Amino acid sequence: MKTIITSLFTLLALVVTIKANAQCNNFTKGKCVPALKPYIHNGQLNSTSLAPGENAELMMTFYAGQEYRIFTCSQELLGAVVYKVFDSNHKVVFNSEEAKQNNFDFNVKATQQLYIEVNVPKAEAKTGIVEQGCVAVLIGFKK
Amino acid sequence: MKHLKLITLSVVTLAVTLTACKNTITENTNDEQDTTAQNAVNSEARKVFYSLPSPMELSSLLQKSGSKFDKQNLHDLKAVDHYNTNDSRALNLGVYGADLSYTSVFDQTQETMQYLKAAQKLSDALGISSAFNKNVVERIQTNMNNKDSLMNIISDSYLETDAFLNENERQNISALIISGGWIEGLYLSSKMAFVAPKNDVLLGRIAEQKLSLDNLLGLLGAYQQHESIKDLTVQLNELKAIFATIELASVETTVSVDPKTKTTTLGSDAKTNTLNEEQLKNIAAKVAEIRTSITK
Repeated sequence: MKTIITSLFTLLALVVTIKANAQCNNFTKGKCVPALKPYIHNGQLNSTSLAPGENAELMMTFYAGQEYRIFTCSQELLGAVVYKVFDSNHKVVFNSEEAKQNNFDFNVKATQQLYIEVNVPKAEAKTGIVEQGCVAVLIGFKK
Repeated sequence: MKHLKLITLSVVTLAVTLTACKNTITENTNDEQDTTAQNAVNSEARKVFYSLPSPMELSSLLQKSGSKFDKQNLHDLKAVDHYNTNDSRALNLGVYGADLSYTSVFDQTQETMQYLKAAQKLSDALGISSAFNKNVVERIQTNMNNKDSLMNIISDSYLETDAFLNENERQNISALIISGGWIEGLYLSSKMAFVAPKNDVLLGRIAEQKLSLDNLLGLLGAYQQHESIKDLTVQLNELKAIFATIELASVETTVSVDPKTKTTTLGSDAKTNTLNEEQLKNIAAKVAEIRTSITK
């Protein structure tokens, strides 16, 4: 009996997780992906739930002669989520906070690896419960 | 009391499950050299995504390099019914998906429909019916002569596939699809390079896959508990050893903004990347071997 109940609760937990993933994906597909247009997204849904103070990093190769858009978006409850783009020498090539915009449109002259670091600002928990929110990093290219 | 135990048990189970899920893409960034308070903040849990260019982008790069379409290089359509495990279906969905991108970018209408059907079959077999469904097929048929729309529709299907698999905690399947697509892209590129050995742009694009291969291995690193991913990683590491003989030009990035168009250019005077005949031969042989192990 105990085993059955444990299994049921594990199943319930899995359902909750799947539901949370679905909510984050729906947010990304509904609110973030359309903002990439007219760029064509690369088909990968880089979205996750982050808590205040956490960060995420994305690595990708960007090819010479191509035009790209990097775009991040996040749920309002996380506050002002910012990101920086670094080259392989860790030099900052874009800072969304300084540029005051979430999209970075650029042409690439030489193929290179870029690193995107997204930071969720720290926040004081008012209720004692740490609230997580969805953050997405999307990459699009032009034909 | 019994109820209290059950509630406690359920809360713990829930917490463990959620944490386990979260950690699949979390890397421990603790660094022994971190001493400052700022570094202490940075050493908190960090989620790392390894992203790869889509088969659509790789096909677009091939077209821009002036390469010629050759349908002989595509995967055999008759093989689509032979795959009976989820791992082989996922890898071959990646392969057929790359062929679909390749045929659509090179305006091969008939082949695009054939590879779409193959992708649809494997997608259905994997339970991802939302990705290449009847509606998508109709949209592709309607927009067959509008390349921009076509590329967007196919990219949407990739996104739908990735979203569905993420939602259902099947990220390992997603990683296999991405791997299959990247391997097929490199296979097609190397085949084209043999036909046009003086195509420097194409050779450069192949050499630069050294960077994307690192990202692919990074992506697969999170799923080493899956036997097929572990096996694929061994093969890709052998390919990495060949790529290690290629020295890519070092990039010193400058950022310039055109005041009129407001377009930013990440500039560099780095010389063009390339690879020699032997390197091309070795890469082509290894990627063909990996592809055969996937498509057999």
